[in-house]
Amino acid sequence: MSSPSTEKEIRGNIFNIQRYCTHDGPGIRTTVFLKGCPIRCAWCHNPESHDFKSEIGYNESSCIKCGKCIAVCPVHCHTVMDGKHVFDRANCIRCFKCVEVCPSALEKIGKSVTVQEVLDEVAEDKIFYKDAGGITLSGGEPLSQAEFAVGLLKGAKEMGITTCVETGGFVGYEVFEKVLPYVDLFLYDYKLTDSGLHKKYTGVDNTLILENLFRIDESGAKIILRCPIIPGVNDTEEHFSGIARVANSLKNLIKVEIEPAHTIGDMKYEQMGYGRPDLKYGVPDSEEVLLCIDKIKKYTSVTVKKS
Amino acid sequence: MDTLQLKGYALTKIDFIGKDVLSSDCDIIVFLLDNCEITIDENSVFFGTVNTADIMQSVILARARKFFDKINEAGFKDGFDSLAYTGMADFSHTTTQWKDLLSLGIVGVRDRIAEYEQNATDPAKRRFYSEILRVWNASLRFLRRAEDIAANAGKNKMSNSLKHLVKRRPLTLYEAMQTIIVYYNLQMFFDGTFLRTLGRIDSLLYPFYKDEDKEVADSLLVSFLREVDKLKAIANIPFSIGGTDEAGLSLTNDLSIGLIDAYGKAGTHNTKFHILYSENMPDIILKKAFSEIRAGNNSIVFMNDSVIIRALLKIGEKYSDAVDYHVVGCYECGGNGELTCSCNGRINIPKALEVALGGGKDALTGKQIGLKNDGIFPTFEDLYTEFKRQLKCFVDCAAKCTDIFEKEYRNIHSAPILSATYQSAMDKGGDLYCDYTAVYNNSSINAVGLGTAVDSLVAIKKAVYDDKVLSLDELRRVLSENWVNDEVLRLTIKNKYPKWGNGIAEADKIGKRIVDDLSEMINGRKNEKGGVYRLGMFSIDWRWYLGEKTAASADGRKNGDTLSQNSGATFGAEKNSATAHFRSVASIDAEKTPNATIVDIDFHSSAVEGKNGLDALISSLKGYFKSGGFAVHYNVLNTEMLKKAYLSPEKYPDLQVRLCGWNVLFSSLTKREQEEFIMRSKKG
Repeated sequence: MSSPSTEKEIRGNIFNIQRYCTHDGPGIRTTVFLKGCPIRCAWCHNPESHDFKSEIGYNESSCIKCGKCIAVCPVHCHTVMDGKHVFDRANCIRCFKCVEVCPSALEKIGKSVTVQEVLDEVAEDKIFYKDAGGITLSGGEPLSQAEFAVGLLKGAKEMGITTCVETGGFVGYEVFEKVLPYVDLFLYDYKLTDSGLHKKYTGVDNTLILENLFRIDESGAKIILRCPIIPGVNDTEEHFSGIARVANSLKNLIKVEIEPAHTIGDMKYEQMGYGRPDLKYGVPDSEEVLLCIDKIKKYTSVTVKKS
Repeated sequence: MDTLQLKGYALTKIDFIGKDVLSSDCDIIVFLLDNCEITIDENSVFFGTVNTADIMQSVILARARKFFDKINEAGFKDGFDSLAYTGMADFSHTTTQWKDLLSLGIVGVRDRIAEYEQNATDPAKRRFYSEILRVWNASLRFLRRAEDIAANAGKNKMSNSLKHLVKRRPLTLYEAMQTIIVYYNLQMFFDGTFLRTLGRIDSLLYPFYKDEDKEVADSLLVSFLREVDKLKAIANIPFSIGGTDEAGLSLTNDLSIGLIDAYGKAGTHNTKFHILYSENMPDIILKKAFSEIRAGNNSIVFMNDSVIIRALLKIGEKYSDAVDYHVVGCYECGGNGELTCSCNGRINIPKALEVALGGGKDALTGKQIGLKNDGIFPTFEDLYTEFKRQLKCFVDCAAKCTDIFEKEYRNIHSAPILSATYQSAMDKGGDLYCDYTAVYNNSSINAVGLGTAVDSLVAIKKAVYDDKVLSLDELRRVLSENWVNDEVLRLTIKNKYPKWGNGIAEADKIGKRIVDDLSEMINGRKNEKGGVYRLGMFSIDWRWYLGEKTAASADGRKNGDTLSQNSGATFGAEKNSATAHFRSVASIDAEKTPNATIVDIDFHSSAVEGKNGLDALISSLKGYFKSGGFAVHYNVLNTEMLKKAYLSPEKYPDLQVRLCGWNVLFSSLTKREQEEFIMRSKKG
């Protein structure tokens, strides 16, 4: 067992701390985005959350072609060809020297921080949380950095700050066991009812995810089920009834939240050098979202809302 | 009588040969009251349209003009022209004593003057009373004229109420509202002294409201707001709700709620709400107010009762007066009995840094507008000390310019209508302006561009003194070249350096320090009227004009670009959300800014949607005020809608946005200003 002081020194990799969040749990929340995710959802709009290691974002439109990066790169990844700045990511050793000198276009995505450093920033907004608001861990998959997540959640509770965890659930149950005493609310993703399709679209099937969901429910955890609706992927009657079925079997469910697909973040794929995702889907308008909600409500009496 | 004839008469009176300003003003006002055109709009529920062709404004300007020559003679021309500092008269930010006005009525004010006149033994006082009595007698004649015109127009309710108001105080809600609108006209267009609040209207009208049938009363409220909306104003027409009494109890009542509901229904864009928040204000007020803001009716400013009261106590006002403060114009506060002059002096904070670096010279014109120095500052503290010395110089100049005007009020403007409503003016037997007869005769200096100045000082500290990226002389070269050869450094500072408005200690510390220093220089400084100066930290639309005359600054700003808005961040620099923005501004000791500290918080509509969005807005307000905030204005901006309105203005005639201190129709903005709003709406 580690002592409290060393717990606060545990380091994790985060790619953002966003204050005044109103969609990640009750009240005003400070959402901490932990970097790295064990699964790859085809519709993911947060490519910067995938890799567990820090990486470089490059926004071409902000580049002023000053050549500072070319001068400092030890492996010559940055070049100008035909007046165009070319960034050869394949050979990049992620030393981030270019980021340090770049005035506008290169950005380090990911930052190694201690539990204490994060808690200090979270505490700055304590006066705004009142009874409802607090910290939300998101990602990536926040539970993949288990020790760090435990440190943050435990530390927040010690300061009297409420805690939410936004999770995809694809981690060993032992991680849930560790965080359970310090989590006020789980925002738990439920993406696809058909396990085969789940594997097709996320890379893994949903067995472990569902198992974990029911086990934390058994242990009394409060849960909001979050369901992304991706047209052409999971906007099916089978999935809508599946959502309701899961919702109906949970004892501590507060509500189901529908998260309509959106395309904000598409640009980020290029900035991260990942290439655009293959999956193309439309964005449902507000009427279509209401229709989805009605379809789910046919099978359940729990609250179903847009997030 | 037509406008030209009225003007012709008034102009013969301006030079008041053989008469003083009061007498001469009374002549003009009586003439206007007896001869101006009165029209009654077909759809009007209340009487309230006169045309005096802004004659009193021409009179004031004509008289004030020669004092601008005195400013030039006193050596302030270059500083004034460069907008490093300005200072002048302010007749534009007053309130009347609304409680007295409604309990006496127009005729009661007139009768009170007559009583004072009869009992006066001092000849000077007696003369004052008889002069203003002439005006108030004419006011009653004016009401009778209006009554006839209303009757001829078939407006029976209107003409009956006017008939009553000539004889007695208002007894019904309708008559009380009519009294407010009539008085607004009298003061604005005849006295020529701008009336900038309708007062704490929920408390004022409650005695009339509570006896009315609720449905009738609520429909009257909507009519009243629509009528007020049509009145001519120099910016918006504000009124307040809420506040506390001397025991600290909330003054909120059913009418406070009724007024917000009516505001939602009335669809006005010229009225403005000041919500005087206290911790014991019922949440329902905040919920309703934020619902309106979310719906785009965002002409609402929240004022923090406890901080404002303490700020007024600190400049020596009595507790009972501080508690009963008024908010005039945008957000400026004055205690009960104070003749609020909230916009006398201005100083340009970033300009003080510009002249500190430039040996006292304006970097754009080369003119010596500040104090000379040798330009050598071995440490950041040395530079800050010099910046502070130049700031003090600007404050002194702004105050001296103001003094030149204020000691001459008796030769510029009198206020026979307004003065009669002030108990202190009646007791002292003199005009509010000519004889300084208010309880508090204070003046104000507002400091503009705090965010720009903080960001520039932080940038210099880091680049020159801490990281030694360049020397001070190199920085001088960079700024004098307007950054053209140093885009890399400019973007590095813009994108990577700490900025005001992000809750970052190293910037916030400097912001707090500047305000502390300004407070020492300004608050409590004696003026020419037996009162003191008060500090305000807002920039409204001045940030454009002052910015145009301010050279490139170390925060990455280029020559002539706008300065930071009000007490908040430089536009686009607040990247750490609303709570961090609040944190920075709350680091200012707002009890040292009796003339207001104000932050504008922009939200994209998605951040405020749903029940949680509403709850979060309320928590944000309470958190900010608990941490010592003075006032806040929320703007909810929807990028898509603004873009559509930009492209097809004809389809969005009613879309309103907060320009700075007041609301405007989006369609009335220049394309450049519209583009700024679209940019602003994209974040968050």
